[in-house]
Amino acid sequence: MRRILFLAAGALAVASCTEDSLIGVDPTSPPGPSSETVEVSIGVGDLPLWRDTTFVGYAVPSSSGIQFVANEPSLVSRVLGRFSTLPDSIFVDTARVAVERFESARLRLIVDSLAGPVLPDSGTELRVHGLARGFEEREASWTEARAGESWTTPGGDLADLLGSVRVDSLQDTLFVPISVDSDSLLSDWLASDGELGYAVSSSADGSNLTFAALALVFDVKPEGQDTLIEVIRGPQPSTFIFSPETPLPGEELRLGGLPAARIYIRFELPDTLDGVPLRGSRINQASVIFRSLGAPPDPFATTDTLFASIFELLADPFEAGPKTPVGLNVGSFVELDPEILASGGEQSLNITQLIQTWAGASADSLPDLQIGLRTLPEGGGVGYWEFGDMSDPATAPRFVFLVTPPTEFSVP
Amino acid sequence: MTRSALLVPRRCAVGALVLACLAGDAGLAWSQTPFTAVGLGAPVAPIDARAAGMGGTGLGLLGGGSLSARNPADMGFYVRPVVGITYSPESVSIKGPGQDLDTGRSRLGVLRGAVPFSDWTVGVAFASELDQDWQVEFSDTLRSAAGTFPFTEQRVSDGGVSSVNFTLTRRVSRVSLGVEYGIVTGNLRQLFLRDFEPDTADVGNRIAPSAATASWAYGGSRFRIGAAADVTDRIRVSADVSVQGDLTAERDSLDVLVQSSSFQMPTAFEAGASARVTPRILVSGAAGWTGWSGSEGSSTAFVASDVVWFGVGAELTGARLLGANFPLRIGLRRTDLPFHAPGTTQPTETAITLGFGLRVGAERAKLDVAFEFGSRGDLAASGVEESFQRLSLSLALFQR
Repeated sequence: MRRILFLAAGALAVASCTEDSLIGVDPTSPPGPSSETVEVSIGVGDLPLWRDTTFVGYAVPSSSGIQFVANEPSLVSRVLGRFSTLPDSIFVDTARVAVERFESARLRLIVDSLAGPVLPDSGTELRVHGLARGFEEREASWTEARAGESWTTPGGDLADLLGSVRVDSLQDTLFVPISVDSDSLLSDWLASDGELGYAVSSSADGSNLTFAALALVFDVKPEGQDTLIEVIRGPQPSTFIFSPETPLPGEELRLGGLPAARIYIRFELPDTLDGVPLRGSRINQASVIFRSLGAPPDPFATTDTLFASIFELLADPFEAGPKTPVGLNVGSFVELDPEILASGGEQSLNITQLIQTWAGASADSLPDLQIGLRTLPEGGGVGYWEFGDMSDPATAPRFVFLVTPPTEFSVP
Repeated sequence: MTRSALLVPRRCAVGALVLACLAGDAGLAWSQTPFTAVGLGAPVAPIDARAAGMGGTGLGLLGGGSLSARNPADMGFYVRPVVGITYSPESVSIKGPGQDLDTGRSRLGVLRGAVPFSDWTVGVAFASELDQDWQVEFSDTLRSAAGTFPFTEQRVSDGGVSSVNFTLTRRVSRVSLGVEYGIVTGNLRQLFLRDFEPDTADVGNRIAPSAATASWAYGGSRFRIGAAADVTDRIRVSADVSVQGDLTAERDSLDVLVQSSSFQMPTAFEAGASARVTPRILVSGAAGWTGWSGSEGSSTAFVASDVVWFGVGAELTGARLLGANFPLRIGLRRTDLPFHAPGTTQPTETAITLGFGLRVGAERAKLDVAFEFGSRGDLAASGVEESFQRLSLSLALFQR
């Protein structure tokens, strides 16, 4: 009965008094409980634990989604590929008919105009050569056809010139006609699954053309028929080789490039920072700030604005290595401003969501603080950025937090 | 490690709803604080509109049953069962160093029922005790190395202390004796919300809001005894004294007690009388003392002081409106307010009162209306000052 009375009286009490909001009071002296939002920071050298590293190889030219030919003082590049899916028969109406012969063929190149193609005033000539040595697409480089097997000539062992085209102005689509006997060439490729492949190069100094797509377009004559049918096949596989090769990272932290580099870090935070509790507080913003080491040497310096994402790591990367399983993205994408980074500026990465989860977790279920950082898209170019690691306090990362400690309510 | 603290007042309100751009004096620490936010809140007089119109007296009033919840012995003069309710909205203007801020409050002051039988009367009354309702909203700017973030902050206190009172009176000739046991109860919800705008230099740089809430439950008890007597047919006197146990405030989270406070509640004495000086004029007066000074406990946030109050009023009867009795009332009252900031003087509240009544439905229902015009505190001396206009409405139903 007493409980019921309390409940009824409590309900009446709540309903009995109301007050309209006072909108606008002196912010130096508002009444009521509150808690100040403060900024605290800490260098990674002062953390209970900080480990960082760079892993490479998450994207290689054959999986990067780009391919380009370049002939510049600081960078040369050739596209390699094989047409391994040429048909020996095609559908004509409703019947499959054997291919009697391959007629004219040409290589179709779609230029990625957003990638900033470079063409000298004198134009250039795109050349397609057959290869004298086969390659392994994931291992091919400017100096090696496959791991442990060098090209006779760096840049690929070129055989016969299969075709060429003069490019005097930038166009969205370029065709390189195959000037050798198409039936003979394609029949050989058909019989050998495209081996030994082809190479596309540019003849003029100062040229750099990125292709969004590359395909072989050819006409076939079905057996017993007079009509020609156009067939299009893409290369499988396709890659590109370039020089100079990307140097391996040292202690510095690298992001981007080809092969693509990621930064993996693992850290622990103190419960309290400079008297401000982190655990149990509202984390309004948490950032880890990297300091750029400036622009890398050509051709790895980039003036393009890159994007990066932060993602959770589902295991300790210093035990699981480069194949550490990754989880969800943390926060939104980060824009990497080339001007700031080239001048050795700072790059702030928002990890508020991760730190909020950590700050709100109970002591016996604290999440591991281990994250990775990668570019988006990964392997989108040879350019990369490097940041200081913990070995040099002047360029070591640091954390900055905006924290609102728990509100101390009281009556009154 | 470095730390910097950065609530820098922008001193300029934002948004169309903001009333003032404040350039306040930081020395006035309690400026623009509503009285409901000071100490344990604003005490609410448990009186009906008739008493409110007669200077807030409500003790020993001749001329019909009182719906006020002051002296339980006054219930002994009921001759019929009654139920009544009093509702009191008020508009408030809180003075600030730069500009006044307008707000409003409303309270269910008293809800009372009584049943007389033979020489006895039993009753129950709900009464507001301490009003702790207030909410404020202001703007400021957080400046940090991470950016400059304007924000709007809301602080809300929603609730208060009330009581449920069980009364028993015995009429012995011209004297009524009453006892009352009151359960002191109530709830309070506190809210703090700080909502940030994007960085002024980079709209993509946003920070998460801060918010926290707390829920409190009040508990306590009070015992009151009183006596009232018709000295003559034209004079009634009334007095009571009450003692209270501590008021406990318990904060829970997910039904787990996380915080508790207790406050010594005051002993109170009050007395009043009314006299029918002519057949048409009734005068009344009442005064009281409440020993709030022990209530601040260990809190350094406020000072509590004893309260002395008094009120005088008069009622003119005989006028009629639409064929019904239409009594007119006037009064004046003054009371100390118990809570104030350290280093400030105890505030007072004064008001002039007006009112009227109307008996309708063959005198089976009574509507009383009161208007109060007054002020509380003094900005210079108390740090807080309000002016107010209160309307009190009481409706009573009598059972034949």
